[in-house]
Amino acid sequence: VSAERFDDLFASHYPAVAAYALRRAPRADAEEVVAETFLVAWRRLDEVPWDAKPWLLGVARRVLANQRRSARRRGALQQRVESERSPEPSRPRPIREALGRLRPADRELLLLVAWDGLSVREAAVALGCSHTAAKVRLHRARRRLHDELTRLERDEQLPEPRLEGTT
Amino acid sequence: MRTDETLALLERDNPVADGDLPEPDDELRRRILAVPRPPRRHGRRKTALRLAAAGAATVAVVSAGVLAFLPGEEASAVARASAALEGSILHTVVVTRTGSSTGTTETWQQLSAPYDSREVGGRELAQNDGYPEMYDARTNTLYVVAPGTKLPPPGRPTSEPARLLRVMRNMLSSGEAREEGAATVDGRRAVRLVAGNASLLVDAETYDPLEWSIVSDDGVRQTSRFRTYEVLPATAANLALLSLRAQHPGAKIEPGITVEGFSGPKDRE
Repeated sequence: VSAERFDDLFASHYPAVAAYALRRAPRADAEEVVAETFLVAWRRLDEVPWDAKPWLLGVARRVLANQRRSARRRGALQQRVESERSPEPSRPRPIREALGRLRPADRELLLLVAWDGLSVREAAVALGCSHTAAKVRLHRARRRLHDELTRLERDEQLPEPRLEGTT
Repeated sequence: MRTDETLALLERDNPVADGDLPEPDDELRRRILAVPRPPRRHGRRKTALRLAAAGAATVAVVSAGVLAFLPGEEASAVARASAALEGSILHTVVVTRTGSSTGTTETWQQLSAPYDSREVGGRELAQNDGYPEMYDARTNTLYVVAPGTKLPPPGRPTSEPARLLRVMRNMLSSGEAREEGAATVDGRRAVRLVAGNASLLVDAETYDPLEWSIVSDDGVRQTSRFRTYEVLPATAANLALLSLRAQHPGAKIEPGITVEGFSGPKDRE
């Protein structure tokens, strides 16, 4: 029964979990996140709710966060050395730049809804907060994203500063 | 720019669109299943038993979830409903209602490889060894894939009733499902099983599913009522029900279906 249930879970939710990871991490890291997420689901199958997708994405989110923490610790120095050598990175698209200016919690909630297709209730399960809290936070995050994007666009439209006396 | 336009902009920037979702990795599934699971934890059962002590009404609710896991006890409604979902060829007539729209589809779905299926709804469609086929009754033509098209074999049943079956199994095996009263569906006595925002009505005697219903966050209820639900043995006559060629032997065969992304002979290997 356990193997059958896991088969159903895996077949039904692998695409969503893999897409979640690929949207946030390079392929090799994403594959690790997916494998770890389903391993957790297999070990804790008794705890997986019948509506499993938000639960699985919640696990994937935590696995990804742990992976990033380890990578940061491991590679902080290496990254600094490489960034000193590498040329200036190209500027991201305005929507990504605006997204990058949000608090991580707001960004994740927006992405769970906009990219992963979760309802607010499902996103609340994935984030481990109440439905009401998720609703309020989503409203706030949407407004912040909008404000950041507007600010970026306004900054781009500002004329280049001119030196006095020039024509 | 309005806030909802900003969100639409973000949705369009999705790096993995819904049409490009990765396929399940069977090798990973096998590797995980080879890992031994830790012994079963009894936290949920203990909680359930504590709840049962709170009152007689609670006992009835909790027992449905707990008895399914206790050997030697009489099978619960949840366990019986789970057993009713086993078989070889699933034959269903499902009436689906979402808001004010309604549709009826009759489906035959093989529940083991090669997972052939045939459905008659607005159109008559089939999956034959993983290859899509379509029958046009007006011209008595059977459309099949273009010669040389190679598709990966399906790893599981693909029809909508098969998806419903998976969802219902998930609900029943999660330990969350509980019995919640009785109802009548098309004149049949039914037991109501609920978990979260979903409910399943099963026949009170056979435990076959009668109606699956789920309410979305925005309050829209989607209901799938099983006018017919039967599991057929894999006899030659029943296997013929899966095949458009067997059902329409005089049809003209037209290799007209192209499947995007799959064309080379190597794709199937």
